[in-house]
Amino acid sequence: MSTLAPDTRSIAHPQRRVRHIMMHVMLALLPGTLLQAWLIHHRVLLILPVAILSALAFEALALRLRGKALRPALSDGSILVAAWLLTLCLPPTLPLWQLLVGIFVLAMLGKHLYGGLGHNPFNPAMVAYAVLIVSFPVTMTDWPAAPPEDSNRQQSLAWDGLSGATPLDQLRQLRLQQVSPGLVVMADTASGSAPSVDRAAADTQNSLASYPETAQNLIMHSSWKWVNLAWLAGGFYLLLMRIISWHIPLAVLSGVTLMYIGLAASSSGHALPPIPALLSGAILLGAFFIATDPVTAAASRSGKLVYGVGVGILTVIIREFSSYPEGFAFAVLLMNTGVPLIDYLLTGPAGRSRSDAS
Amino acid sequence: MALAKTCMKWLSLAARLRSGRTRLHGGLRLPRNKPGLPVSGAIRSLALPPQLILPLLDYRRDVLTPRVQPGQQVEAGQRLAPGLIATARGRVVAIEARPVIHPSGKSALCIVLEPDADQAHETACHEPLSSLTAERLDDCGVQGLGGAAFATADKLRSARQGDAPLQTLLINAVECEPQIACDEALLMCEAAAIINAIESLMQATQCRRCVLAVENDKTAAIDAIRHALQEHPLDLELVLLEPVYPAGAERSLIRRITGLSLPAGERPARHGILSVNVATALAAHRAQLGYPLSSRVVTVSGEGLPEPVNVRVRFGTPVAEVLRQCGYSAASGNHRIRANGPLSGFDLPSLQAPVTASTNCLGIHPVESLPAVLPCIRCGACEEVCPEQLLPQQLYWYAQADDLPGSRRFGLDSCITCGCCDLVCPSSIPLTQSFRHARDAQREQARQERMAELSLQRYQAREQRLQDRAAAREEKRRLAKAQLNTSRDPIADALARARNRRKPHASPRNAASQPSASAPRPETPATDAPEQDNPPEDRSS
Ligand code: SF4
Ligand code: SF4
Repeated sequence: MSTLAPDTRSIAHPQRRVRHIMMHVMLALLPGTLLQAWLIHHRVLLILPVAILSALAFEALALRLRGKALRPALSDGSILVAAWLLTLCLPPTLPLWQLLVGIFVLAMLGKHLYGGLGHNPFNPAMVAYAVLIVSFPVTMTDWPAAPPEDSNRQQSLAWDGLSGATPLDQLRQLRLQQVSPGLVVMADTASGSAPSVDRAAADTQNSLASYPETAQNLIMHSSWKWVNLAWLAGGFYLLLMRIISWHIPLAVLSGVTLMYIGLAASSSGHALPPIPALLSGAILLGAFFIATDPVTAAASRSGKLVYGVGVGILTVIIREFSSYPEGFAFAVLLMNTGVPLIDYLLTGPAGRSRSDAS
Repeated sequence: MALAKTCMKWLSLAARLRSGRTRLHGGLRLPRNKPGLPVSGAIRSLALPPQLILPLLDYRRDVLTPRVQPGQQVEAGQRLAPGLIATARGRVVAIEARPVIHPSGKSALCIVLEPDADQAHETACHEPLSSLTAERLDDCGVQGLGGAAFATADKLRSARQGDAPLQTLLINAVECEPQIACDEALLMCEAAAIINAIESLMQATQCRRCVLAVENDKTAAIDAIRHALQEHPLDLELVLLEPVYPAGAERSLIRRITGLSLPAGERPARHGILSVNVATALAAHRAQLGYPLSSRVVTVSGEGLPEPVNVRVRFGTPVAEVLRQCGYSAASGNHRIRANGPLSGFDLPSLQAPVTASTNCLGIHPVESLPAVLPCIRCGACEEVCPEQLLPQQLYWYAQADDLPGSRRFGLDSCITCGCCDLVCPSSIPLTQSFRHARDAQREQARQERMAELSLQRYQAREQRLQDRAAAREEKRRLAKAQLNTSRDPIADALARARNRRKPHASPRNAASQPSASAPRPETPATDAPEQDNPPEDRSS
C-alpha cells in the first residue's frame, strides 16, 4: 500500500512543514503588532500573550475531548496564528474575560466543532470576531484614540475629544452627522460618549464640507497608517517567501478600490479616495493575512480571484451601508460560505479543459 | 536564502521567456546528485544469471499464451509467446508462477530459461535490413525502454497510419527522474550509434522534423552528441531543456517542444508526433542490424551502494542477482529496494522478480519511518508545482471519497502521478498514492464495465440467434402447413402414407424418401413436408 507513494525521503528537496509556514506568518505579523502596541495602545502586548496561551489551552482541551494526539496539532502553530490574528482585530482595551470568550469561540466553535485544522469552513478568527462584536458591541468598538502624528492638523480638525475612534469610526460618525446629526447623538448616547460627539458635531458641522477630503486627512494623518503599512510589508514578505499567492490580496484590494471608485462615481459624496480607502480599517491586514487563510479560501487561481473580489466588495458594502464600522470579518465569513461552490465550479485550467473535452 | 532562490527563479523565468520555449508549468528543480549519479557514464554488462525469468505479460498486463514447452531448447531471439522473445539461447526448464516487478508483489506466469554457457554476449539472429520495418521490430521484440514498454512496432504503425503525416520525430533523452541516468550513460558511451539509429528512424518515418531533447545540465552527454554530429552530420535539432522534473513525461515534453497541449488520453500520433525514447531508438537500430532486444541499461543507485552505477542487464535477470553483481549485500544494513526511481516507482516486495524492459532504475534506500501525516491546510503548494495544472488538494478529497466522477472532473485522467505534489506538501499527505489507487479503481471499474458490456452483447447476440432460429423454424412450419392445406384430402394422404410404409419396395423414389421419414429428427413437422408431396401422386398412379 505505502509502496505506491512517492519516496519523498530519498530526495533532497527541502520540504516545508505546516509549522514552518505558520512561523513565517507570525514573523510577518510581528512588525505590525509591535507598531500597533507602540502607536495605538501598549495593552496589545498584554492581551496577545493571554490570547495565545489561552488558545493553546483551549486547543489542548478540545483535542483531549476529541481523543486526538496533542502534539502534532499543538506544534503546527495554526492555533497561534489564528489567536494572534483575532487579537489584532480586537480593541486593546477589551476586558480580558471577553477576550477569553473570543478565544473559546475561536478554538471550539470555529475550529474543532468542524473537525479541527483543515476541516473548518469558516475562518475561526473571524467567527470569533463576529461573535464578539455581536455580543459586546460597546467594548468591541471602543478603540483608544490614536494620537495623530501632526498636532497642528489635530487642532484644526478638532478630533481630540473623540473616544471610540479609529479613523473609520470617526468617518462613520461624520457621515451620519451629515445625514442627520440627531441620529448620531442618539446613537452615541447609547454608547455613553454623547458629550464628546456633541462637541465634535458642533465643531465639524461647518468646517467639514467635503467628506472625501476630511477622510483623506483623517486617515493619512493617523498613526494607523503606519500600522497598515506594516501589514503591507508583512504581506510582501509572505508573497516573497511564497507562503501566499498574489491572487487573493490583489483581488481583495482591487475589489475594494473598484467599489470606492464606483461609489464616488455614483456621487453619494461619501466615497473615500482609493489610497486612503486601502489604508483604512482592516483592509491590508485582512487582504494579506485573513482572507489568505488557505483552509477557508478557494483553491484554484481563478477561484481565489473570485473569492478575493467578493471579499473586497462585501467589505465595502457592509462598511458603507450597515451599522458596523468595519465589514471585513463578515465579508470573509460570507465568502467562506461560497467557497465550496467556487471550488466546484472553477476547477483550474486542466480540470476545465477536461470537462470541456468530454 | 529563500529570497535569493526567489530571485533566481525570476531570473531563470526571464531567461526562459527569452528562449521562447513553452515553459513547463509547475514541476520541481530536484537535485540530481543525491545520493550521487554515475558521472563516468561507463556501462558495465552484468554476467548472465543461472536462470532467466521471462514474465508472460505484455505492456497492458494481459497474460500471453506460451508457444514453447518445458524442456524445449530455444534459440536467442526465438519467439516464446506473442510479443515475448527468448533473451538467450537455452532450455526452458519451467513455465510457472514467479514474482514479477509490481507494487503488490504479485506473481505471474513466467517462462524460466536456463541459458547456455556461451551466451554471455548478445548475438544477431536475423539478417541486417537496409531499412527499418515494423515487422522486424516485432520479430526482435522491441519495446519502449522509457518506462511504459509499449511495443515499438505498434507505435511505428500508428504513426504511419495517423490521419496527419508525421511532422515531428521526438527522440526523448530526458531522464524520467532526476536520479536515473541510463539514457545519459547511453548518450555518453554510444553517441555515434545513437546518431545512426536516429538517422534510420528518420528514414523509416519520413519525418519532417527530428528533435533530440536532453536536459541542459548533462554536459558530458551533450558534448558526446555534438561530437558525433560533427562526424556524421544529420538534420537533427538538439533541444536543451531546463532540468525540471518531470520534464521527461511525454505530454509535457511534447508541450514544450511543439507547443501542443494534448488532451488526456490522446495519442501523439494523431497529431503527427512520434516520441521515442533514445534507448528504444537504439534498440530499433540494432533490430535493423539483426539483434533482438534482450537487455537494457539500469541505473543502480542509493545509499546502500558505495557508488551508483549504470549496468546493462539481460531481461529476466532477478533483481537480487543485479544487486549482488553491483556489490550490494543484503547483510550490509536495513534497506528497501525501490524500482523505477524514488518518485514514480515503488518498493519491491520480492527481490526474485526479474528485470524487464520497463525497469530503468533500482534504488537501495535505508528504511526510515514516514513523517506524520497532518490534515490538508489547502496551502496550494501542491497546485503550484503540478505540471498538469491540477488541484491536487481537491482531487485528493474526491479520490479519498471514492467519488470517481468528481475525481475525473478534477483531472484524475490528466494526472501523471509524478509525485511533485507529495514532495512539497507541508502536511506530508500521500496524495499521489491516493491518485494511483483511484486510477486503479477507475481502470478496474472500466474493465468491469467493458466485461459487462461484452457479456451483454454476447447475451443479446445469443437471444437474437435463438429468435432467428425460432423464426426460421416457424416460417418453415408455416410453409409446410400451407402446402398441406393445398392437398385435396388429408385422410387420403394419411392412408397413402400408411400404405407406403407397409410396402417397402413400392418404387425407387419412395424407397429413397423412406429413411428420411423415419430419421429421428426433432423438427418432425417441417421435415415431414417433402415426404408429403408424394402420396397424392402415388395414389393417382
Ligand atoms: S500541499 Fe498538502 S496541505 Fe497544501 S494544499 Fe496540497 S495537499 Fe493540502
Ligand atoms: S501526481 Fe498528479 S496531481 Fe500530483 S503533481 Fe503530479 S500530475 Fe499533479
